[in-house]
Amino acid sequence: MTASITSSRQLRGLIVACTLLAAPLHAQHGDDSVLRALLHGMRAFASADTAGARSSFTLATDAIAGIWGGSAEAASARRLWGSEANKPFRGEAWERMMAFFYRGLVALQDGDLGVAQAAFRLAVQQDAFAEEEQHRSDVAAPLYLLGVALQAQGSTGAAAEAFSQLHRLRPDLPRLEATAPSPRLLLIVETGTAPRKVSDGINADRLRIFRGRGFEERRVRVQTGTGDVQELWPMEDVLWQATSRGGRPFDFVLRGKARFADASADNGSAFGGLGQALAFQGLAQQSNGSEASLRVGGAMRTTGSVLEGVGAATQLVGAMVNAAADVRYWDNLPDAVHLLPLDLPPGPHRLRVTFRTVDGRDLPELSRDTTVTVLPRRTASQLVWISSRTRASTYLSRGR
Amino acid sequence: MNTRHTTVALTALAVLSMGCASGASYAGGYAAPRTVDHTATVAGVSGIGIESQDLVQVSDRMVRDLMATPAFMNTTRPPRVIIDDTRFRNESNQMLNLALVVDRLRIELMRAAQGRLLFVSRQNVDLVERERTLKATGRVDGADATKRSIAGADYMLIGRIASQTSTSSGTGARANYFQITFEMVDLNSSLSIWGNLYDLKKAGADDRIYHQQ
Repeated sequence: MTASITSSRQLRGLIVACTLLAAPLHAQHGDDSVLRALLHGMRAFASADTAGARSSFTLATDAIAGIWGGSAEAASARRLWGSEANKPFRGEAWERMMAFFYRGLVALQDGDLGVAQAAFRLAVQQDAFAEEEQHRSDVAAPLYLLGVALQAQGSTGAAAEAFSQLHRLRPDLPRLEATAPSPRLLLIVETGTAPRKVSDGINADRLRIFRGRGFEERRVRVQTGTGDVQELWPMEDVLWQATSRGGRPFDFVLRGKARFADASADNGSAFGGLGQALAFQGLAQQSNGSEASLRVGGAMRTTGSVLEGVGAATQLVGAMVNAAADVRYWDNLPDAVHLLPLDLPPGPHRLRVTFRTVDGRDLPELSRDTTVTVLPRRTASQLVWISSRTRASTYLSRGR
Repeated sequence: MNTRHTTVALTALAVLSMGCASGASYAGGYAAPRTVDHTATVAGVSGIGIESQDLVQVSDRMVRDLMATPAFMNTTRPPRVIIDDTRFRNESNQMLNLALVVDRLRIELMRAAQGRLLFVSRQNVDLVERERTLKATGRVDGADATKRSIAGADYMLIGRIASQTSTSSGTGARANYFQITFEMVDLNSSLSIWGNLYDLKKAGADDRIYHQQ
């Protein structure tokens, strides 16, 4: 009996040890070069490093736009012991949409209208992959900028199509004419912090997405030098794009892994209990003292020990299963994008951007003053980009 | 039944039970992903866009077709044409460097035409005017050509790249259809004297692990 209990304790110790040993493996991440490019690109864009933003977003979007076949890392993410985070990072639909959105903004800054319209078109297409039919291509900001880029390069037919699609999606916006000159100045203001990916459930197999933390600003206004105050158009709620995406086929795999882990733990526990009971019965049988009782009792104790071992092994298998969802995310994105075309005459202009909460309370500490020099007419619209928050990345600051 | 038999039977029962538990709940099994091309940037990633070899093929075909057009080539005076990217429009989902496409077309056409076409470099007019001014002021040698007009063009090549994308969220399949059109516009009459289109289709499917979502 003492030997049986000792071996049971040893096996449980082994489970704990194996689980601890497996923890670093579970924490390993697959190729995250795309994520790092996105984080660096965003940081560069926010600090007006156009060359850095261009190279990072080009790297990321070139990869995202391709076909992602099965790599060894992706295959390991499907295995029972492998984490979903083993797969090379490509981002969820809203992250991919935003990658093309920023690539398009960089191209607009460069005056490269062909690339800009292609990037905004790809941003719209990323959203079209969303599962829920009613949320297909409901991204307003890339759609608007697609129309503007096409309008500027003289593709009036295609621009009219983009504006028409935008009008169906957002009838609250002013009706836009493809034949009109493209806006001289585009003011883009971003508010808040990135939606967060969090794993939920005992096996961390459920991917949940929450609004970013630590901000209140939801509405934006701009005052131009002439004193006019205009509300910016709220064009994109990134959290809405993140949470209206529907489920992922891979969620079923994660749930399958979680069920397997749970079933293994239950079965292991049942075998262990049965083994212990059998061992006790064997001991009681042997206490009768007869030769037959000693023989049967011995067999029962041996079987009990084996069952305890099987139970412990089953629990060990369950403990080694990794059903955790991949929670790597683009953490220096905004919460929302606001936009307003401004037709200011060439020359310097002072802009005062103010922020308010959703219920209209002013947040004066966030106000921004900037002076922009509007250039004489050029083909592409001039961009002014302002963010209410810094674009620091926790992921990058950890040195990953 | 002796001790050994009892032990073996109970252990077998336990192992069988464990096997049943594992088989019941794991949803696995995937078809191998289909891919096209092998221009990888991240391991396992390939393209379904316009690749450099597509552009080479398109420009070669365009040059052959244009050189075989009698209305354009059988003229007593070599026609003057403008081929630059000012009237090439990208309306596709490809982030292309259009100058790359147009430069290749112009150079290939120059080499094939062997003097039967003359190419007007309208984008470099400022360069010509600066040189003429330098000559006229005597700062560099050469005849004063400021009184002579700069070469006018008879034709201009215009074009457009458009695309249509279809996707299936269920299978992760994506297909890009591209259409590249070229037209030669008579700059005196505005008639379009030549045109052709080239189309290509690229398709592939993401590994199921990346299915959208």
